[in-house]
Amino acid sequence: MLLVALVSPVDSLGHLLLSFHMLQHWMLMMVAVPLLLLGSAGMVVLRGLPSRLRRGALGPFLASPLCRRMLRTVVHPIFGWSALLVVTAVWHVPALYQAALQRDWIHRLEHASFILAAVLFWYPLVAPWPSRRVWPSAAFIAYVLAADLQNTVFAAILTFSERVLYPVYEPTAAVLGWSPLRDQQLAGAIMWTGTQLIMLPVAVLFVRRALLGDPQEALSPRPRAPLRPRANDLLRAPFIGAVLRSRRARGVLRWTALSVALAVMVDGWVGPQDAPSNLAGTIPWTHWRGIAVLALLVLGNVLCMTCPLVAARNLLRRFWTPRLRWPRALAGKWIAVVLVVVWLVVYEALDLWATPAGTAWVMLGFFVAALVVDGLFKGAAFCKSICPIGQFQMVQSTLSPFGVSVRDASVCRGCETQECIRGAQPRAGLVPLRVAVPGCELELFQPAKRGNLDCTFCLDCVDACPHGNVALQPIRLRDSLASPAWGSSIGRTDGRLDLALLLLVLAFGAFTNAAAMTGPWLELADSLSARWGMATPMLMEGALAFTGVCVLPLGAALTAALASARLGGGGWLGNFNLGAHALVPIGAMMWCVHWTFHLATSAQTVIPASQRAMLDLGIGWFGQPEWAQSCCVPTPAWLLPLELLLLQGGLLCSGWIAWRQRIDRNERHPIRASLPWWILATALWACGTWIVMQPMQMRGTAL
Amino acid sequence: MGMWNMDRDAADADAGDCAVNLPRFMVLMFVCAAAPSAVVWADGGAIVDRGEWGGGRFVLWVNPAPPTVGPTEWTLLYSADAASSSQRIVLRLDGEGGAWQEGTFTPVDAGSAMHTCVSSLPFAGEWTVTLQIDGSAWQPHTVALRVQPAAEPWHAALPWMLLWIPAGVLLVLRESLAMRQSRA
Repeated sequence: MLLVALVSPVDSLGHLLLSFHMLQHWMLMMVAVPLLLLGSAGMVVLRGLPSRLRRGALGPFLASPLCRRMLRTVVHPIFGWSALLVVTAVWHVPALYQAALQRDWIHRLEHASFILAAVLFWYPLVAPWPSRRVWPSAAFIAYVLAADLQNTVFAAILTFSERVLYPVYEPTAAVLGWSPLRDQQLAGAIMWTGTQLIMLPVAVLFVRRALLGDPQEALSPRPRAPLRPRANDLLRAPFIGAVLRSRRARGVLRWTALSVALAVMVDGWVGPQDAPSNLAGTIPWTHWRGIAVLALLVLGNVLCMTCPLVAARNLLRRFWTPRLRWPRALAGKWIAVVLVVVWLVVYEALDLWATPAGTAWVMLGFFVAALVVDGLFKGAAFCKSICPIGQFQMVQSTLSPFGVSVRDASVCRGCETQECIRGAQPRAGLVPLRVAVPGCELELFQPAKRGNLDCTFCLDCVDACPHGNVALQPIRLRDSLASPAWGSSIGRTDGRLDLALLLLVLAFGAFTNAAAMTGPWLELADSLSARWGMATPMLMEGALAFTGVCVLPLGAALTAALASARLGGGGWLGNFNLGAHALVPIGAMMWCVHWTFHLATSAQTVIPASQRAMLDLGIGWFGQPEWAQSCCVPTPAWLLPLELLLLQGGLLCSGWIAWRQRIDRNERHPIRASLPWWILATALWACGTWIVMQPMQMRGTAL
Repeated sequence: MGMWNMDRDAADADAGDCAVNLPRFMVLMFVCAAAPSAVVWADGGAIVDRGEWGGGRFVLWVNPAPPTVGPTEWTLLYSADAASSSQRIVLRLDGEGGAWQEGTFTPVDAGSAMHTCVSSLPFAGEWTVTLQIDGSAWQPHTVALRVQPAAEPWHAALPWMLLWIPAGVLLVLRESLAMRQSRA
């Protein structure tokens, strides 16, 4: 009914004829809304929400006595009846009614207020489950008839008026061959009889109930079956669970990624050195990055799970067994911090996104480094301490909704073999295993693991656990970023300077990386390099990037840490380490905004690049390259609002973590201590908002 | 087919506890967010001119209202005899300094009286809008129109930018309620 009212020709004709506009409003208020309420949609939606959202976000409101009182007032019959009267009266004022036809937002407001008023009016009548009618049936007869009476007054004014009340319809009705006055009379008749067609049967129904008794009043609460606990395990979900659980399926995904990576590298070396026409200029920088951040936001670290480097490493280890252990002195994130800085600076200085051969060489460098390190050292030292992409993925996955964790802690307490960390041999039994699997190569002991940090989602622990006790289930943001409690292989988050520096570099790197493709940044780099007599702006772009990912974060975070220590107490180093965690969400959202921008505006660039690569191989099935797909696709209208919403989500999340950290540490002045970090997060949000409003260099396209 | 019963196990079990709900919920949210608003909501626009011309009656709308620099949608409702209505209707826009542009109205459906044309107004100021029936003896119809400067992009985005303030207030309320309830 909503579709017929809002999308069908009824809506279009509503702009030309008052009668059709009236028909539309009648359908919305008198048919669609009662049907929605009869379906008890509110409770179904509420029950269908993820429990974390329902209990965590809505729970405190629904349990609050004040909110309950307000809700009871709002759904009271007197309130509903009054709302219908006021809304109907206000929107029939000619000036407002005509304004709605000329301004989109006023028209939306009009429809929204009609629907809301109708919900408030019909709610006490329908009393959707589990609510009960607050008045006896006899009172609702008067309620309905009184509403019908006020409707009759407005309908009669329209029907019997001798002048056109809404002149905006005069020209349109005339062009369509209608008399504007007749159109108005018809509208009045629709309002009058249409409403009575609904109201009178409802009144009769309540007369019957008043005489024979209301079945709802006779209902006594049924004894409810106890709630059946359900596992939260995504590995048990249909299809996706089967794919994730299957070791072979994960292997296929990695080998597919490896094949694509090899194709991209070959094309990068031998294909044309024009980024939009080369697979190395499109797939890694537009598609892979965009999909990575979206996967992180909706699921978890899927890209590390399907990493082609792991496929190559596993192949190597079939023929070669590493014997050395990664030196303890290098076990932190220090190497990773340096490499992430180098990565971000070199990316800007050398315009890696625009040089397919450079991209291919960098990818080869990753493969060589991974094979050398993992060929020499046991475990996954490359993933844990070196890989800049892995660091990015693992840090951002602290915001992901799912994480690898144990289903039942008591099972782990009774486990003596600890296959999840030590590895498992082939076995039969309840959870059979066909091949030997290593334990967690990143040394995360499942029962003591906290959050997603350092987890590559390889799911080896799932295969290894003989109890089937490792799951992929929702994790709490608080555990990942807010709580300073000890985590396996990570330690206490407030005691790790290397980790804090990595988080800061990645958070500020998000803004630097995005700002570097805006017009003002490029102009600044050009003007500074010209002033200093540089032949190309390359060095200046590198210097600006270094300032953005290194100098600025250190300066800003040190200032915030000192202010936090002064305002809330504690040492500056602890505040520095803790505060860096609070900036992860705002940074992650900026990465998401930046890379989804590329994905949304340039996703189709892979089509001509693939067609060209196929033609180079002599395969003509895919046709001639559609070069129009490499440019000229307009930016979708929904993108900017989505970007702004994501940034604001990041800001609120950062603010919440900064405050929650202090609460969990039982600090005396949690608000004062977190204030500097709120200011810093707000400054980053303002930068991000400014960036998305700037003209952008359309990287990866022919523009 | 069995009747839907809210007291069934499936309904009683805490559906929200099932992790598989989250992806479904997100897919639903995505679908809702991706629904093109222009399809659902009204078209808007203001009447520029109306009257009798070319052997029929017409109404001309412009959207956005008031017209601003940038993409502009023109809608013409034109009822005339079959001969006139089947001919090409041209929209000509003349601005200051001799600038001009032309577009052709296309019927929204075959034989429809409603025609649309999209133009892009390059600068603000006084413009003359001319309607002309191609190959017709009827005099072109002209009307003056004042075009406003385009709104700054951030003006349109402002409501989206400031949503964090009410969301922040709700978050603070939620936290204080949760803390109070946990103390009680």
